[in-house]
Amino acid sequence: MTVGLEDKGLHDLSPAKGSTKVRKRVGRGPGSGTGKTSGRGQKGQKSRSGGGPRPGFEGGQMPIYMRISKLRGSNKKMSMPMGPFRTHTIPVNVGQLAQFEAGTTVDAALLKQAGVLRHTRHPVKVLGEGELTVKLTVIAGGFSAQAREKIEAAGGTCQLLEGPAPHGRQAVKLEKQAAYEASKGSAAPKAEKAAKAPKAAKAETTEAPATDAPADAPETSDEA
Amino acid sequence: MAKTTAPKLGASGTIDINGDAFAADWNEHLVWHVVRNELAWRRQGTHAVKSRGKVAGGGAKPWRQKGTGRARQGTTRAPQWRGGGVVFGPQVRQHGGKVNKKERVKALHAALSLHANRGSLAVLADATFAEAPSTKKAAEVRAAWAFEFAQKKITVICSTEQENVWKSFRNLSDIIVVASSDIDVADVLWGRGLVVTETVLAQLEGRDVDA
Repeated sequence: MTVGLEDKGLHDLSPAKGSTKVRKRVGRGPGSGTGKTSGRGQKGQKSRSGGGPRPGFEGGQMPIYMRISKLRGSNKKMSMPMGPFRTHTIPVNVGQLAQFEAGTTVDAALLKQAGVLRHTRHPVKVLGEGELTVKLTVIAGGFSAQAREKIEAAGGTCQLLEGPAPHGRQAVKLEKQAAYEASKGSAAPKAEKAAKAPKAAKAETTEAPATDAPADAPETSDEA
Repeated sequence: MAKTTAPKLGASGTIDINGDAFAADWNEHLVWHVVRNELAWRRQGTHAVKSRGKVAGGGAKPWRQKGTGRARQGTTRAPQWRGGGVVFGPQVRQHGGKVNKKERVKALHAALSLHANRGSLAVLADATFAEAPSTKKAAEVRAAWAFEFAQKKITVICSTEQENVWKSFRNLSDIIVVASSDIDVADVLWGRGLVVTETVLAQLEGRDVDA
């Protein structure tokens, strides 16, 4: 019985039609439809509790999941640096860059410091969501067409990182190294590191106008 | 549909009701879902029986495997035995589960709005019990409200600081008093009428209550 909203109370709430199901009770007599064999057919392995071969078992024949070699190597997404096979990036939207002061050079390290990134192990790709009014120099592994348009419209520049960004163990190593040097506060190793790290050294300004931006999409940019 | 005023108790006149919390649509399935979970959490859950492994004794094989003419038996505590264990019996547990926060807030808003829309919402002036608790006064306040609700179950919501309100109403029959920090949708719907204090009204209007 449905009750109008006027009298609706705790006792006459009901779920939406079709959202609940009555549990099937097996083995409750011949009249129930699931009596005698409880819907398991007749005797045999599959009629026992926990019965049936394990998933993937093919009767003793070497099953397909063991027959086929494991997927390793260059076509595995995370094993490669950015490039033809590797598209994994950390997305950062331009709206998240709005917090920086005008004139700042924004790179992955700064983004991590600001709490936008948790780690710098994968290259950053700047995407177009949000608004940006401050003039920034942004260094990243990729820019979407819209992001580039917005950054440049605000008077800023986009610098694309050339070559593979540090990744995986190498990136962790560099991160630790940087943290260690920062804690020591010595200038010399920093400079040395800057020369080594491809990230900071190989930054190159791409001065493509906004209209050319789609052709200069980050996926193809590494060929340069 | 929206009725935007409510009578003021403990004072004269009416008070305007604003805010999303009192202007939500009724979503019965959602409310049912949330209330069901709340009530499940209230279950004590301290019922338990012993399985065949937990029943004491039964270590020895009752009779030898072959030759007796009787069915083979391994223990006197098997479920088919008198004094044996229970199969799949109740165990101590919590019955409640998880409901998404947004769903909970939406359900609460739906319940509050139900009261606001049908005119079963009243606002209690904060000054009424500012000095001392008084059950007598509380009974008068209740009687002074429109007759149709005076005889029915009422839920009172006060803030945690308003101890006097709680003390005043708690001993009246067919009334429950809950703190605004701890509103259950089930409590809101338990009452045929809903009374909130001015403080609580401000809380409910001003911010989303994460009950």
